[in-house]
Formats: sequence, structure tokens, C-alpha cells
Amino acid sequence: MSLTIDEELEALLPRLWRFCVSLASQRAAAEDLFQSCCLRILERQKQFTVGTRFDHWAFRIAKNLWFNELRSRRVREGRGFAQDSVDDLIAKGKNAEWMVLRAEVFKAVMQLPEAQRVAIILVYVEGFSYAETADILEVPVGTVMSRLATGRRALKVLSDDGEVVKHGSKQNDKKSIEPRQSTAAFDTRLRHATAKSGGSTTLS
Amino acid sequence: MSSSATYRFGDAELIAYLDGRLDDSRRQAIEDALKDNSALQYRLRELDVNTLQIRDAFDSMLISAPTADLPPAAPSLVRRQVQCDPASVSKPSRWRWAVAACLMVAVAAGWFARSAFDNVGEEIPHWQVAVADYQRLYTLETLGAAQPDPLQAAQQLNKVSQNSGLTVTTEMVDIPGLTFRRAQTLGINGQPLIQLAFSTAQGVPVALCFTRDKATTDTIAKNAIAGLNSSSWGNGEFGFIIIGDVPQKLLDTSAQLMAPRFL
Repeated sequence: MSLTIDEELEALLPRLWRFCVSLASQRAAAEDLFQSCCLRILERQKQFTVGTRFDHWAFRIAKNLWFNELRSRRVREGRGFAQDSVDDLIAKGKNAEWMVLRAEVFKAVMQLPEAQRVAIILVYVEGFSYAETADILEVPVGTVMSRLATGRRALKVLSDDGEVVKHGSKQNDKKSIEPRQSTAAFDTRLRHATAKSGGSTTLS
Repeated sequence: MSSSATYRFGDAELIAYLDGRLDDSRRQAIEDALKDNSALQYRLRELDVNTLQIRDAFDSMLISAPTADLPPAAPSLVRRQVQCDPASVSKPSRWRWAVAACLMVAVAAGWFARSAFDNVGEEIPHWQVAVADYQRLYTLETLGAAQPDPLQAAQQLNKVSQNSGLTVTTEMVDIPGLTFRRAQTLGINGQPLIQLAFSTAQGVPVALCFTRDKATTDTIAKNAIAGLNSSSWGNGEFGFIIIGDVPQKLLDTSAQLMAPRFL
């Protein structure tokens, strides 16, 4: 027995909202997109194939709505895409240092060009595979990888705050480069913030 | 190492390597090349960002994301319609009504208002974020082979009881809609963290985890963490979380059932 559509949607709404914000990068536009997306899912629920991933299907609807309809309409209406302040979009917490770091990372990603930002969010936030991301965005996998590469390079520059190692410098230590391991200054600051909050190394 | 070796690996492969998504042979080839190829080291370093931090930053949006519990009146109204004339209420129309109601109530409740963004929740305990990250790696297949018989289940529960100092019996893991699959002891901050793994009838993995955490209150809290729904509570000595990619309603019901069992 599979979940009903309303159960699927109920479970997905927080992630769908996040994806809408990621696409629109502005609260008001994200609200329009989110509402439209829920209604479009409603209208097209017969097209959903039971047994396939609902999130995949819903995210593609959101993407198509944004790129094919809402984005151009907002441009025509002259409302633009001014990015909201980070405080409006992410939750606050008690640990100030952690929140500063979290806000920096969030802001850096939201500053990326739209195509790179969406690819990075689908892969690293939503956890889709490269192929699934390509399918949602309806582009070749190579395009996704290219967007990820460009986006990651931009984030590296932004997040390192000048720490990017020059080719051939003494800092260029190959031993520090391993899968799933980062040497960025953010890591040190995150661990520091984590230790202050009584946590351990969940995020490292 | 020659420059040709540097470009033997494309950006796509380097990203897959950093993401841990590259097959063993190519991963080994990159690691071999890295030993004496500074240009390749540089290219890799250029791409090396901490993706877990990105996920954490965006997961924080979920805490204040709109919730969409259908109003209690909605299902009953729909049910009444169905009872009066089942043929007149097709699934699409029910669905259309439910989502429209959901949206109307949501708007009325102000979850599109600016205040929704400013209404921030408490910081999610660190160990719960770790649990969510771990649980997120589970697939429909993960618990497939874990089908303990009653004796094995009792042995596993006895073991985690000894490790945690909190008694868990087979009766206590009897949850409607969930099948007990496995009990194991993990660890965080030098303390045991117990994972009781369950699956739904569809095989979707759900975990009930607990560790010593006196800060967690006995009020059941709902949070979406790392894209998973969860319900959490405490008993004054231990903190508990039940989490999975399942409807929040199932977790709430299970949490309400389980909380008194761990008093």
C-alpha cells in the first residue's frame, strides 16, 4: 500500500517551500510559486505515477512553473528578484556564532547564479543524485556537473575569504584533500561553534 | 606528473570523488595521481567545499517552514460527502478540495505572513541533527535483511538496555503501523545513542533514537530535519526522537504512544 497524495504532499511541503525559496530567492516570489505549485500538483495529480518518487515529480513541477511562467511574469511586472535578508529566510537559534556561520553559508549559496544555485541545492541539500537532478531540471547530466563545478568554485572563493590556495604554493598539501573532507576556514569555525553549543562533530 | 594527467580527470569526476560518489577504480586512480600532481591537487582544492554546511544552512529553513496540517474539519467534511454519495466524490475532487482548504487555512493562519519567518523555533539538539543525517542515508533496502525473531529481538533490546541504562522490552517496541527491525548502540559525545529501527508496511525506514539529554522537555515537538519528519520529547533524563521519511501524523501518533512507555 502506498501513501496517498495528500500524505505525500503534507510530508513534502517544508522541502517544497525550501525549494521554492531556492528558485525564487525572494520571499514574495517564493510564496507565489509555492501556492501555484500546490495548485498545479492538485490539478495534475492524476499524472503522478504511483510507486515513483513524489518529491522528484513535485520539484519538477515547481521548476517548470518558475522557469516557464512565474519568473518571466515577475520580470514583466518589474518586481525583480531582490534577495531577501538572510534573517527572513532561515531560522534563528541560541548559538550566535553558529547562526553567523549558517547565515554566511546560506547567503553565499543564494548569491550564486540561478542555474548553479538550483543544481547545488538539489544535489547537496535535497540529496538527489546527479542523474535525478538532471531529470528534474531536464538538462543533460553533464550540464548539471558543469553547474556544480562552477558553483563550487564560486562558493570556495566566497567561503574561504581569500584562503583559496594558489597553484604550487606551500599550502597546497595533497594530504588534506580527501572525499567528504573540507579544509576551509569554515570548518574550523563550525567546529568551534559546535563545541561551544555542547555538540560534537556531526557536521564535520 | 604531466599536465595531461591533470586533465585526465574532468570536473565531473573530481566532484564525484569529493562527494564520495565515484567508483573504486576511478577513486583509486585519482588518489594515485594526487600523490605527485600539484596541478590536480589545486583543481581538487578549488572544488572542495563543505557540502554538509550547505545542507545544514538550508535545513534551518525547514524549522520555520509552513506547516500544512489539514484542518480537522476537512477530512470529516470530505468523509460526509463520500458517505452521502460515494460516486459523486472522485479522488481528484476530494484532493482538489483538500488542498484548497489547506491553502485557505494556511493563508488565514498567516503562514505566508512575515511573522511566519520571524517565528523561530528552538535550536534542534545537536544529537538529533546527527540522527537525522544518519537516518537520511537509509534506503528501502537498508533494513531488508533485518528480520529478527522474537528471541533475537529480545537479545538485541537487552543489549541496548544494558548499554543505555534504560530498559527496553519487546512489548515497548510494538508500534501500530511499524515493524521492529533492529536495535543497535551508536554513540555521540561519549554517550551511548540507541537506535531502534523500524519499517513501515512499504519498507520505509523509521528510527526511534534516544540518548542522555536532560534538556529535552516532555512536550512532543515536531521538526523537519535534513528533509525528514520527526517527533521528539524527553523524560527528564533521556531525549527521544522518532524520525523518518513518513507522514508527520504517523510519527506524532507513535510518539504519543511511546512517551509513556519510557517514563
